Amino acid sequence: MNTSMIKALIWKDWQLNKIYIVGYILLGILASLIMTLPSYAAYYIGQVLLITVLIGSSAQLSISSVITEKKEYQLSFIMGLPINVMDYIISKMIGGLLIYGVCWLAIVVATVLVIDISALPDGHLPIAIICCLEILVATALLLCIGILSGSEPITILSMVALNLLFNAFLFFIVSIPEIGENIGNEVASFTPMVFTIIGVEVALIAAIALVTIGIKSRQVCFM
Amino acid sequence: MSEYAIQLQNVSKHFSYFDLRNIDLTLAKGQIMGFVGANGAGKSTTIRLIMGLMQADEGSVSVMGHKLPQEQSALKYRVGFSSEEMKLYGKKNLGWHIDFIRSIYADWDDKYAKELLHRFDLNLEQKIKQFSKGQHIKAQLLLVLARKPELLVLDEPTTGLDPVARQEVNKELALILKDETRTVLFSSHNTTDVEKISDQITFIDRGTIIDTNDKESFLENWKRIQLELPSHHALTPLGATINVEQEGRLASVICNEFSPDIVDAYRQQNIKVHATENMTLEEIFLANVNYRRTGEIR
Repeated sequence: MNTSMIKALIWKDWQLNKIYIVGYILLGILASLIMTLPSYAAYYIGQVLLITVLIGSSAQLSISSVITEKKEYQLSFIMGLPINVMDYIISKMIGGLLIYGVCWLAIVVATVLVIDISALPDGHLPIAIICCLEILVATALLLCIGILSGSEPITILSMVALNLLFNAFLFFIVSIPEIGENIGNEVASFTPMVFTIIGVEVALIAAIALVTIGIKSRQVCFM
Repeated sequence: MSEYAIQLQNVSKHFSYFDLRNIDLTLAKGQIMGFVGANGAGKSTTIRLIMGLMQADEGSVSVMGHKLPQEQSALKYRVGFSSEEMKLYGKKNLGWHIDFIRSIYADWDDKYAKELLHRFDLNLEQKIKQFSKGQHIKAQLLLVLARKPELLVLDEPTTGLDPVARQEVNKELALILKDETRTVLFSSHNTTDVEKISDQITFIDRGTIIDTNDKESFLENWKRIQLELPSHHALTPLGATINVEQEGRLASVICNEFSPDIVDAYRQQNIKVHATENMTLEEIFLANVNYRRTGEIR
């Protein structure tokens, strides 16, 4: 494994995406602030915008760093560099998560701070963190699908399916009494159930990354 | 230490639509090889095998002493590879690409890069998407050459260029290659480009190497002889004749191992030899391909 090349490739992807990441972070912060406005409509608009920004940035990063690079033949340029398939896959999977992680973390921290400081009930915090983590899991899955399939239509179709899955996930989480009943509380309830879900989500991200790298590690050549 | 920069032994690669068969190819260090073939002949597949981007089904591939594809990562520190299908990042400028490549290759030569920038008339600040195809290829060559590779592999670098841009790229390439002592493999379907640059020439057709030799030998061995026969009878070819075209008493014969003895032998048969003509590399390539495809010695 050529770690210096993996770092160089991740740095290259960061350079290519940082302007968009900064834009998404600003939009995410704006969405969090809109949620705190003293209006029910503003709260929902802010919430929808926040989710849209997190999902949109995830989709853009996954498609631009994996699919577009292949489609526009920049992968041919990268293949000529001193790397093997494993180095490339690690840079795309881990690098993709790290780069998206910058955007994700900034938006999640801003959202947590806004919920904590504003008049919004702190009971929102557990579900906000769980839902944001679900989007991180979906990002890992999207990167995995993009890397393994290398196909734009399959990746876009998966993105649509994952968006629909997010809505189902939201309903499922709210339907858990330990979580749903505490949303309106002034104090955040980080129950064992909340930690279990968070733990499962983090484990899923690690598993998806490892499985993707594991599957591709058997491939000796790029073509 | 092997004297060969590239060594392919009995390499085969099967695709559902195409087969590369029993490729034996060697390129000595310090040589410039032109790799000539029609579109779809197998040039790019061979080059992908040489770069370790593809795995052969049979045979062995060794480049600069590295076994491929297993040691491709180490090899690619020593090889500069540029291909026609390769694209740089359109949203970034050339300066960004130079910084990226410089961060990878310890041997990057800034002075040489600046010299090439000047020679190629490229602008560091200009975004790649604003480059013409010729400028894009020159930018790629700059990124490959300034890292000072021991082996340069260029897959159809002039394909798709208009005649002016092609001439410019060829002129610069010839100048650069004259300056250096590196090994070069240069693929093209344009024999004129190859003839100008190469010492060694290899022809590939339908997935098989059909001929390989140094340029001078090709040009010396391949001749067209214009004959006038004493009668309308079909000519009996002599020596290494691979093609005969006859119209009445006039015949045109192509030999691939020409010697003055062949001319003398025709004269002894009372055949008038009007001319012994040199052939261009394109004519040699076409005659070679037609000969191999038909498998006929006439």
